[in-house]
Amino acid sequence: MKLSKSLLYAMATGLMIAGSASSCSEDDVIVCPCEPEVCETDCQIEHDHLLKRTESNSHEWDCPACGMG
Amino acid sequence: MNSIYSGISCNLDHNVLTAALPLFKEGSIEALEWSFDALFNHKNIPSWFKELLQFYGNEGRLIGHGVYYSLFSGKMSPEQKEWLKHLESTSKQYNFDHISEHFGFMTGADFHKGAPLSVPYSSDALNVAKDRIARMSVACQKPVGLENLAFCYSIDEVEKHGRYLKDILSEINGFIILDLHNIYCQVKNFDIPFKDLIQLYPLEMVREIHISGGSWENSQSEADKKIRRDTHDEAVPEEVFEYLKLMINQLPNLKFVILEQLGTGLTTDKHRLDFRSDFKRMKKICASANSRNEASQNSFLPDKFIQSEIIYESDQLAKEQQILTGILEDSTSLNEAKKELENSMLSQSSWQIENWDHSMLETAYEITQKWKHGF
Repeated sequence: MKLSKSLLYAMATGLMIAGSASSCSEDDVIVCPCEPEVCETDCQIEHDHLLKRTESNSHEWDCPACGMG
Repeated sequence: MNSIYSGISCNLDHNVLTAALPLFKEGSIEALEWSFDALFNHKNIPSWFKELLQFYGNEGRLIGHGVYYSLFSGKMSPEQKEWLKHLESTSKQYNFDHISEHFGFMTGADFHKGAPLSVPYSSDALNVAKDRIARMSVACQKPVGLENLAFCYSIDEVEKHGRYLKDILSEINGFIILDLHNIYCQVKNFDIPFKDLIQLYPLEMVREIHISGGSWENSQSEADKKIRRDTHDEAVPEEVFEYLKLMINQLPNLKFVILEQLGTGLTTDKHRLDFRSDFKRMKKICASANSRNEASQNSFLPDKFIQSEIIYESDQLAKEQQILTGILEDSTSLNEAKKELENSMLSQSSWQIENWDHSMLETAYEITQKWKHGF
């Protein structure tokens, strides 16, 4: 299952850009449903309820899918 | 020879993709599982991610894993209808080998807010689940399966879970995803031996295995009790690898084994290294079984893709789910939730709340509180 070099390069570049971005917009940020709109910088895209959850819960980013998450 | 493909759960997640990139470069990842309904708040998907999905799809190694359908919701919501349309269009865009979802219903009024909870065995609930899974099958025109849930209210439910899955899936000749970490949660939380529990599952229906890690939570209501939760944020426990070794040659229709881990647990180089180490160990176990000669006898396709013109709905089940959700979300304490339940229509009903394990009610309360504001 070898990926092409061009695809691997595109992935690496895309991940590098996402990882080093100094700001993010709602369309650009890479997320999964378990890690909603959050980036490592200080942009405030719908973060408020997540921050509240962080204060009250030790598993704030757990997966919702399988139960007991 | 019937091969077993080792893969990863791979969503558009920076940490997971970064951790997996060396494995992609080596060509080690033989299959991808994608939660196709997870991009609900995205307008743009990077072209390289689409290309990645296309590549695995074209090789017959892309599998879809839904999160939000809420199979057991008593009333069919407009969001569920939209979900089915999305499944239909996505299945035309990407060549999935199969599609799966989760057992249970999602609490919460909005589609992406709530927690997945179990539903007691009843003919009414079974009819709802059969109706919904038939609609999935028609929408995607692929084999469809369900994953065993980690959460159960009681030991009685734990013991019935395999049969429940079988009865639902018989409607469409569907398959089971055997999540070994979910089984591990039940082994630990209900103190039941793995070898006894696993025999209660229709093992010939297992087409996919999940392995993952989780975490321990101190019970607030029972001193010295720890609750195992399927949080996907740690490395795979040793016992889960042992389960995989035990099961790998007992599942004649097994095709995919998937490592699941959340990006939140993969933020450091050490965690990413552990992830790759877990994957390689998992793959080695799968490879040891690949010399078996059993040919897969079940395509897990129905004779016909068919669904009823009339949607089966249960007002009673919907009402019960609404009451349970309301109590778990709105109570200000676990004790208040317990009292409210005892005074509700769920008392002395098929939900058998009288038999619920106290620590599991605590877990239901906590996960409902946690997810009620959305994902």
